[in-house]
Amino acid sequence: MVDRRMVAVVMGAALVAAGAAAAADAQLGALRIGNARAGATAPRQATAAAYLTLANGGGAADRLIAASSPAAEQVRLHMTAVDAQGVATMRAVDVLQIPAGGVVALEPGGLHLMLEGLKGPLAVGTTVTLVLRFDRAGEVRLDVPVRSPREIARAGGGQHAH
Amino acid sequence: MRRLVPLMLAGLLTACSGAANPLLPASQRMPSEAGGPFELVDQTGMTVTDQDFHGQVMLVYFGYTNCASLCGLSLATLADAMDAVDPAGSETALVFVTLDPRRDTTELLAEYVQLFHERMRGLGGTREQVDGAARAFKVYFTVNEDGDGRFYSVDHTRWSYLVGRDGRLVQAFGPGDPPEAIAARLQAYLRG
Repeated sequence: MVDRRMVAVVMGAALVAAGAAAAADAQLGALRIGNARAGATAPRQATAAAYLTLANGGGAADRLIAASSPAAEQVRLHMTAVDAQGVATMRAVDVLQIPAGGVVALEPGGLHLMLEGLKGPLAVGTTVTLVLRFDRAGEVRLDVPVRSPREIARAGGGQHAH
Repeated sequence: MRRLVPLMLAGLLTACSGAANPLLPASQRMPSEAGGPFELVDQTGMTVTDQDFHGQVMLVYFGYTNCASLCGLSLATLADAMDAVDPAGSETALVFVTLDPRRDTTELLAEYVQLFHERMRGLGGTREQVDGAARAFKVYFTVNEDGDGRFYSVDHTRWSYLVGRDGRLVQAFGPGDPPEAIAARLQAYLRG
């Protein structure tokens, strides 16, 4: 998921856009990106998790193919799963499919974006920039609000609400 | 039937994540016994043993700070459970034990536990000390070495433990168990 060229391209595009503010939620072609949030980190912590919901309102499947952040060395899509011995594993997922008409939720304890090699701590009340690239819908820059891990666990809801 | 609920929730969690549904024999799901002697180093650099916790109830989770999703969720859930029953921690110790002492230094543990609760303790130490504590609590884990040794993950059993005043397991919980369920069991144990 690391693509330094893409970061450079996207940052260049942002400069050209001259102040067009990124937001936490976005409509990108047929894709609606919502409920984006990232977990706050301790100063020495190297890794953060971010979550969001991807709703594909179009008639064709799309794929999340790259992610990056100026706040971290790399961003990878990770899946937490449970293996045959009841052991939780975390593995990188290269490509995430968003089916036509489908919704994919990144939630605590499941799919998440891992910001690895943080350049500084993520503080509650600030935002962290995420750049996502989709096969069809293109690229989007999000300013994702940082929340405390306890708030994320309460609101994240996937495992409690379903 | 009540015992099945957390197991079903755990299954749903995995189903939501898109992985195969792990319909496991109950014996592989949750330990019914855990606890025993251990020696670790807390977030202030002080050596602590199981004896230091006897007479207190422990809410304990084994993980690592780079496990930002599942471990954060589990620790947040324990913190919420403790706040619902014993927010001052007068009878309850809220404990995170790292399985990754190489990266999770004493200094990092001190910062990390503060994200969750002012009373949370972060225990680590040497690889041998951590291995010993994991054995005592029947926590199984594998460090997934990678190329540069910086962004590796640690597979680990996902249980949170409610440990009684005698240092023995009262009940294990999965990541799908809401804080209310853990709080209810803690309340029942403390008042029972």
